[in-house]
Amino acid sequence: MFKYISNRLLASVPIVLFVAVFVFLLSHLAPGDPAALIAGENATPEQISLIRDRLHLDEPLVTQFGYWFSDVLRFDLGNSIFSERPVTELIAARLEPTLVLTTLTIFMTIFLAVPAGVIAAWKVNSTSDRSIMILSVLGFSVPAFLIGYANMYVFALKLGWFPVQGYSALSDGVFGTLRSVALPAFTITLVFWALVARITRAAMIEILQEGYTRTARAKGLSEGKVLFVHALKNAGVPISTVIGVGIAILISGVVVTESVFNIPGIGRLVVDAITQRDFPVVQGTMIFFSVVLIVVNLLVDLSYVLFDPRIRY
Amino acid sequence: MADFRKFLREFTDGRVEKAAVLILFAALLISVIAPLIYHSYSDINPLERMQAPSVDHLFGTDHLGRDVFERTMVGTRNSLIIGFSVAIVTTIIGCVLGLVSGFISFGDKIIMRLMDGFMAIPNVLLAIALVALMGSSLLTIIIAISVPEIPRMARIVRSVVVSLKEMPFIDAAVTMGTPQWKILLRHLLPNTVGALSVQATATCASAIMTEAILSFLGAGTPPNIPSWGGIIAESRVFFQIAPWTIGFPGLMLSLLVLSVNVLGDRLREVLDPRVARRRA
Repeated sequence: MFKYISNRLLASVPIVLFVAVFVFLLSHLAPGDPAALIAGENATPEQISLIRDRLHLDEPLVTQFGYWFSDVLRFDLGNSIFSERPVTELIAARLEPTLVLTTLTIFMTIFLAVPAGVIAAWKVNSTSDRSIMILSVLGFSVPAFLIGYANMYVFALKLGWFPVQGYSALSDGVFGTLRSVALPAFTITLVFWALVARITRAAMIEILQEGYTRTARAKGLSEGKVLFVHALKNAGVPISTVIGVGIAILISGVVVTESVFNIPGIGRLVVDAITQRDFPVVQGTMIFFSVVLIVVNLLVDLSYVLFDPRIRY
Repeated sequence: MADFRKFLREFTDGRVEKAAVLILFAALLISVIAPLIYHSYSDINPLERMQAPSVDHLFGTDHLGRDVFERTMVGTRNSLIIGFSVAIVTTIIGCVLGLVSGFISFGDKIIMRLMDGFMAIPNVLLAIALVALMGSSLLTIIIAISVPEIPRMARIVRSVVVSLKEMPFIDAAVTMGTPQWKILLRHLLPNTVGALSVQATATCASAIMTEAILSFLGAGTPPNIPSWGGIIAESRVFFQIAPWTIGFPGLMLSLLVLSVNVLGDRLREVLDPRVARRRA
């Protein structure tokens, strides 16, 4: 197990390195002087030359990357051009809303998508299967911001069940937080669940034809037990895989939805940074999201042990 | 030809698929005609700001009094151009990379590590970063959306090539002294067409969607070209007063992406022998 984890971590080193090089080049390939770019539009020549010194811009590109990357490894992602605060601090300050939003989304997705997929597989080609599949195609086809505005219009503006926009911090009460992220989480869920429901259905269709399903039925287990205990357990591996793969979709959903619902999370941080051309923040958040993606996929691989005891690391 | 007709018949036997084909044709037609007949789509008319949909303005007007219907119709062209171009660019580059890395083990290591690297950056973020880097124009947006899509295409082509490489007919070709480029182009490439076309359709749909997301986030098509995401982004502040400015272009976008996705699904069913067998 330990060996597997360390091997996997070693294997992700080149990937992280690639992302780092790419993100580093981002500010250096942009037309113009990187120092001027990082200093922002209203910088004085003194400020620019200060930055040139600090980033070692007069040295070869490889050396520059070395300095920058060793800073990154020490969790120093540079300072924002606008607020002049360290990027790591900015990310940490924005972490809570995004974390709450994604956790709630993943839970809602699993609770909505897995039963839907099971039912669709149980009654293949029935009306309920078809309607679930049509709904899932809709999930792929309707953009998150449209779902977001539709949810806002119905549940916040017309029915008044939820606040229209904004985020209420956990320190002000858990209930308020849940109320403020319920609609955004539901929005991303509607995009995300299609993927999970489809995989669940596909995996369950195969599993329901297996011998052990017949055995479970033959020994007189209730249909619910056959489906949700015996069969579903075997679909655990593909379902957790697709959740891992879907994290990328989830992240783009978070970026869009945080903008729609005005939630001060990391997604908003990126979008604001890009519109303000705040390159250190863009670089920092991209590295952050990539590392999250890599770690989540590692965790997903490790979770296989839970579903399939034959898998050992 | 008979094969093709059978394929076409099989392809369009469902009502949903027929509707999807119809919508796609309508969109193509609109994208050609709309810019020719609507010239006043960017005319600002302060007297008619944020009017609800009516006979004069089918989709209402936005905060500058511009006709949302005309803007949406003209914006169709932008979405289609981007969807098709990204699909073509991604297919060509992904195909070359996939063929090379599937067939030449030396290229495999380098190319696949590179692809892994690109896949570790979330799609939309990579695209926004590229637009921020290159500035926004139609060309840069097509590039920015294609780059994150290429790894997936390359991987699919590679997996087909790797599984085909062990087949007797490739061995036969090698034994006969067929040059490598000929094996790649004549024997391997034609066998990837099925997987390629399915993935290309999916890419087209997701490119249309990504462009709208980019425009919505303010890193998309320049504002002088009407685009669906752009129309929505410009009027999102006024959502509570004029929801139609978001609803109608959003609906058109969903309808188009939905049609492309439905056709892609159908294509997969027709072309994938495993699914076809299950249906039979």
